[in-house]
Amino acid sequence: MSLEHKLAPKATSETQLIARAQRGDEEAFAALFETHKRRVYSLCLRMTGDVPEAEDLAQEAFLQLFRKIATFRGESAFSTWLHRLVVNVVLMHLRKKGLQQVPLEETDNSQEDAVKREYGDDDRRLLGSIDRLALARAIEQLPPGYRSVFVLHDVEGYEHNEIAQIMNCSVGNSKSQLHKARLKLREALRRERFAAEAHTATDKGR
Amino acid sequence: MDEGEGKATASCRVFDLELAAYLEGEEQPELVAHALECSFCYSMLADLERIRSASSELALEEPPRRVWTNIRASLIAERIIRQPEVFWRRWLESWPAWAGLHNPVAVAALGCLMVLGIGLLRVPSVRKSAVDLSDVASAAAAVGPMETSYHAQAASFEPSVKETYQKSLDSLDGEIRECLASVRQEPDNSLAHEYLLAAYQQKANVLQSALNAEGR
Repeated sequence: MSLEHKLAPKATSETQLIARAQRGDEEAFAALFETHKRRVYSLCLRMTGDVPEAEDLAQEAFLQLFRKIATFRGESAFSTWLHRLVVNVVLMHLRKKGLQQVPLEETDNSQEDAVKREYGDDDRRLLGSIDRLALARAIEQLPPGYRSVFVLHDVEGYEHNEIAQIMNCSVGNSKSQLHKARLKLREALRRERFAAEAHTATDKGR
Repeated sequence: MDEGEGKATASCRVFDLELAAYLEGEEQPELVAHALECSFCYSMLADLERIRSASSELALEEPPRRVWTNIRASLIAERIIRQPEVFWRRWLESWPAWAGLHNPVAVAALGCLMVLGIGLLRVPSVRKSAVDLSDVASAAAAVGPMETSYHAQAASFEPSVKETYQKSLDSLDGEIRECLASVRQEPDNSLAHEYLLAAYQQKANVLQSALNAEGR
């Protein structure tokens, strides 16, 4: 079966759900929420790193969506429309909290963000397979600016030009933030892995 | 082969500078060649590619049920969700404000007048109630256990949700009290019986909605 054939029934059913929601049908609102809740909530959670904030923002994003649903005319995909709305809600929230998403200066050459060159046996070891939970925790620990760019690019699949537009920064800045975020994640994951190995070794030594 | 032996070489520094561009998809044959010769840089490149790959496959998180419960309560309060309305309420709301029919007292008065009018037209017999008393009793009996379940669960509701439901229930309880008073005063008032039955049914609907919402 072709991809178009697989997608067509879903698209039709979502179009029908949207039309019903535009008439105030509760079941349609519930079904739309059910379809998109995980992606919306996960995006909020990854961008804020905070469960209560993510709940509030997911709620706010869906409310804004449902309040505006009567104006949806289907020019763009519903999920794209929703996704952009969620990103805007989260970024507005972070700005209100006073968290500068992307530093104004284009480059930051601080030692903290430079590639660490500490040679030794541990440094040469690869991470191997990445523990997804550890990765999720490490993303939560990223500074807000790095985290937003990283989540939008590497988790959600936005292009740098889109991120630059959304976050009101340059493409170069978006690329720079992303690279630094990846380096920070690598350090965090390696620290966690070595700590776990040291803990295991201590347990064996007892 | 490791060319580092404890120190970053000139090639390693070039690797650092070009790494971001390479990960963005730019062709960097020298970078790849260096990574194959330097274990530190190879490790760095492999790790960052693994992080990128794993990040795009992170599992989606499930939001707690209360997120939908809160959204639903807000949509109902803002009348974005249109709940089925009881016929008589919709009919009354269609009257202009000056008619005073949004006021329960005025409605009761109109009901009395209508009953009186019908009674006068059909003297000497009074029209038998269209609603069977057993229907009203059944509706009232059905509400009891639902109300008990609601109060047992209401403590776990979000405050705003609880408030929304409580306002509806308080309003319906007020209507039920008024209808009961009318029925006691005029046992043959069919309109009062019908309103009483409708109020019990609507209360049952609200309670069911609250119980369903929490269980969803």
